Amino acid sequence: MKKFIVILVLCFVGNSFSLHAQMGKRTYVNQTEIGLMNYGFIPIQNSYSFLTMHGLKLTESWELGLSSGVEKYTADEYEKFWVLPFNVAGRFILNPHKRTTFYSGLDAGYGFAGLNSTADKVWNNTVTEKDRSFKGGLRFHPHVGWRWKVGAERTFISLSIGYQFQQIKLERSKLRPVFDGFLNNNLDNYYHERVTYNMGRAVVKVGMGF
Amino acid sequence: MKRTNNFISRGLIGLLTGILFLSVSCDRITYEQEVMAKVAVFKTMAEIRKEFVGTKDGVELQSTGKIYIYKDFLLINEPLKGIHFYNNSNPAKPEKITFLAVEGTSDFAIKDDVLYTDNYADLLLFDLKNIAKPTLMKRVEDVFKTVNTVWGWKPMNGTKVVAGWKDSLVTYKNTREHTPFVKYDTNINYDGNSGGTGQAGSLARFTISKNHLYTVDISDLNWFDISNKNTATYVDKMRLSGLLETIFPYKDNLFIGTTQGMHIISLENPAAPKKISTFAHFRACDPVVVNDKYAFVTLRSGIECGGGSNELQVIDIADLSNPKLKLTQALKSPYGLGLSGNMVYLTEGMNGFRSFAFEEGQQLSLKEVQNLPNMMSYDVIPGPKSMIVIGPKKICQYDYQDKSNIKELGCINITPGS
Repeated sequence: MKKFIVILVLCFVGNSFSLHAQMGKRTYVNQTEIGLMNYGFIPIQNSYSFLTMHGLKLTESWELGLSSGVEKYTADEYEKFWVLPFNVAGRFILNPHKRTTFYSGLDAGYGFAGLNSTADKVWNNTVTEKDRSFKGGLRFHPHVGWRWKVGAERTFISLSIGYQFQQIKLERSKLRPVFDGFLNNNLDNYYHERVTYNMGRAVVKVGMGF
Repeated sequence: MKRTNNFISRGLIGLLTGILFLSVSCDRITYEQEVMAKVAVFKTMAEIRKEFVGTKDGVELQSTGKIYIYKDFLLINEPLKGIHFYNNSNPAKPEKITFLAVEGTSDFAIKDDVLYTDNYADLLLFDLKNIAKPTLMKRVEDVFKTVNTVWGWKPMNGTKVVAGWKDSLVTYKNTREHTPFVKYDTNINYDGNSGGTGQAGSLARFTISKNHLYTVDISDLNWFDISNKNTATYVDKMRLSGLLETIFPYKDNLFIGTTQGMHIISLENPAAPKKISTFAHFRACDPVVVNDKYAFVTLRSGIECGGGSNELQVIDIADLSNPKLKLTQALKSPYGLGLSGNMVYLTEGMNGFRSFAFEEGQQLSLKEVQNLPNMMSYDVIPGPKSMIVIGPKKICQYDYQDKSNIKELGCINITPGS
């Protein structure tokens, strides 16, 4: 499954160039961005994003396409998740003919969680988590930003800020701690747990495209 | 111009939207758990009063509470279950006499062959004239309003108490939020000596002084008139600050250790105790022992005790209304302590056992005499024949005539229960 998803992502990213060649210069668009995601203005407990959008220019101002890439999240301080996102991506360019323009966008889709390790978690030579499995979830990324044209006619660099929502579901059997309030007993050392992480992040992205 | 304004206004909308995105960023985490757990089983006091209270043979010591030396006998309280009796005329080889089953007991005290202990909300009096066969003399009903249960100290819920556990599959759902800028607290509930009486360690909750029995639950000091040997009359109670933990009588005063300090209570009128002062400290667990001039208090931090530090404090109590901190000694994880002459014996839980010589020269000082890091211990009683040290797996007695080198005499094993 993991290999399949990776191959799918690579095909998607790679195809952009051949699609570009096929679709012609006037209607085909691309934007590749790297992003820093965290909980606000202070860059701690950071998450990271790499995303490529491939689409068509529908009108002078509107672009529509698909985006994919890879993201790594830090959640609840200690949890780390890999996500393979697939989005439908839309862009609105305010002044497409100017060298500098405001734009806004929305990427919405599904993030797959197949890259995460399901191996037992071991701490202090004790298995603290076992039977781990991950499921991805819905995601959306509204954002606003600026584009600056550089060099050739259509090439630009971009800077955007936005909000990123991503859901991840984790199932695991967790070792019961010594102190856990009223459930403290020796009946069963592990308990089963389903944890749903609804992650909301502030995102700053830089990118380039054409 | 119009286009410029349009651009600026849209840009501002975008910027404000971005700031909004930044301000709502967090993790919303939902836990759905399925746990095999033991849930509480309630019993009424009427049901508890019908249950067996008396001696049982062949009951092994599974956990320890208060240790009490009475005459040549060693009595060990097993919290919530009862009291183990040993003949301790030879400290190297204590012999089991019997086990007195009393459900819900948290502590006990003895005066003139009468043993006083709690049976959840009731106070029971046992005749110890034949120590091999203690007999119930009197039950004083509904005197304790906060009782020790398998679930920790709880206020009496009507007439019901938590008397046990039942195996159950429990489902549990909880949602919380996480950002790096807000720290969430984890709240976890956890849960005496002289004149015809016996000698207890520093972790006692019952004590007898001046024909009165004094008990502490987590919030109140309760007292009973026991001048009539055949009964006990509840007199009154006093609400004290902090979570009350230990009670130590010395001469005309009671020293009550709490999570937030030490209260000094005057027993000048034993029927109407009066608070003289409180010595406050950071939140921690603190057993207390006292001599004429000084109170020795150990502070322990940790999950059940709150924050604070790990140390021994020596407090000048020459003026009881104005106790003053004189000396501190850093420790690792102190529990109960004992005082014998100028020696202070300290138990440090999993970090062993230590002893210090207390010297009053020009300057007060504590000089370490012995450090036994492998001798795991939770309370100590320097008794007349031996020093009794309670550990997690055994209760051992030591010859402590040579203060610099205590020698093990014998041990009683603790068999952990299922």
